[in-house]
Amino acid sequence: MILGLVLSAVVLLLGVVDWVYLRKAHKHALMLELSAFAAVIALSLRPNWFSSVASAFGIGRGVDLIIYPTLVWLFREAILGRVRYYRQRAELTQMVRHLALSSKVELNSHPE
Amino acid sequence: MCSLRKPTRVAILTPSFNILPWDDEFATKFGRTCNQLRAENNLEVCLIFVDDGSTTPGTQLQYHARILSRLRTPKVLVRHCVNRGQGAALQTAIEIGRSDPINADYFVTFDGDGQHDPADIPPLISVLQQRKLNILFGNRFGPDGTRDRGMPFLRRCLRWLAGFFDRWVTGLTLGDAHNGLRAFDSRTAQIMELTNDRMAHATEIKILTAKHHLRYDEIPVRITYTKKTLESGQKNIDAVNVVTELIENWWFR
Repeated sequence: MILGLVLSAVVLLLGVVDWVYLRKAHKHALMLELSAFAAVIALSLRPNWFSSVASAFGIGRGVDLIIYPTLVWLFREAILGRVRYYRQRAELTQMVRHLALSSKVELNSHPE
Repeated sequence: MCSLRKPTRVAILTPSFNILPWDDEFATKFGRTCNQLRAENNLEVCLIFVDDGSTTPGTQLQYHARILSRLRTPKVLVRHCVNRGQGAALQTAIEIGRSDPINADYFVTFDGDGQHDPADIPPLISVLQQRKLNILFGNRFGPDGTRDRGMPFLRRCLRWLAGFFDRWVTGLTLGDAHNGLRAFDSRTAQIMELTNDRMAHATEIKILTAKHHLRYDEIPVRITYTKKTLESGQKNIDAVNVVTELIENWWFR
């Protein structure tokens, strides 16, 4: 129970810090994050709630109900992040090339 | 009788990153080669020089422009505002060379760090023309190559591994996996859309050669390894980077 309280306090603190930075410009992202934090706090304080939901899905422990989807989500994020990175890198190269071509210098175009 | 035939144009593509300008001796040698191509082969030579976002003092485009402006051959100088890699710089040069007003018939890729010998350019063009090849690769390990010109032992081992990897990936049997000195015709230039911005472009060119069934061969060229060229050229660890770049590009792009 003490571990659950400590974990809840840490998550709550993170929630407050993000609320300060995100509340004005990124309300929807903040709501998404706080919903996930609320689930983590509930899991750490009342693990038996999740265990009963998990057993309904045929999953052994309540914590696995959180871990499995989180792993899938993180793996997907890693792949999508890499794809985004390569796309943006290609776009940056296109932009740099476009700028270079628009300011090219031609010298001695008519040699002796 | 006056000939109205358009002169054959050769674009020499020179990428450069953090490389000091050519010294007088090298620039004179390069200029002599251009004059020779013009006088003996009736070729109109154009140098396309790309500064790939150089940052170290004395290596930026304006410093190169001073010495390059002495050459009597037409030239186009461009600068990438940020470093994008040798493959990206070559693609920029190709795009300039294959469009107006240059519309080159032949292209030569020539590293800007002075490791290539300008005297190797005329044979590359001659062989490409005479044998009607699409692309001709330079091979530094041929009989006239640089086997005895200071290539470090570790680099020779990597060269063997790189050759094996290239043969496996491209199916082409070439003696030199990553030689920056090569020549190709306008058909190949139209095909060339390099997506590997960094060093892996050399393997990508071979993949394109195999994919489009281009007529290819290789001839011996000289490469001079000096402290300067070894510092500016590929490092041994780049072999790992090339493989990683190719795999990641294939998966994620």
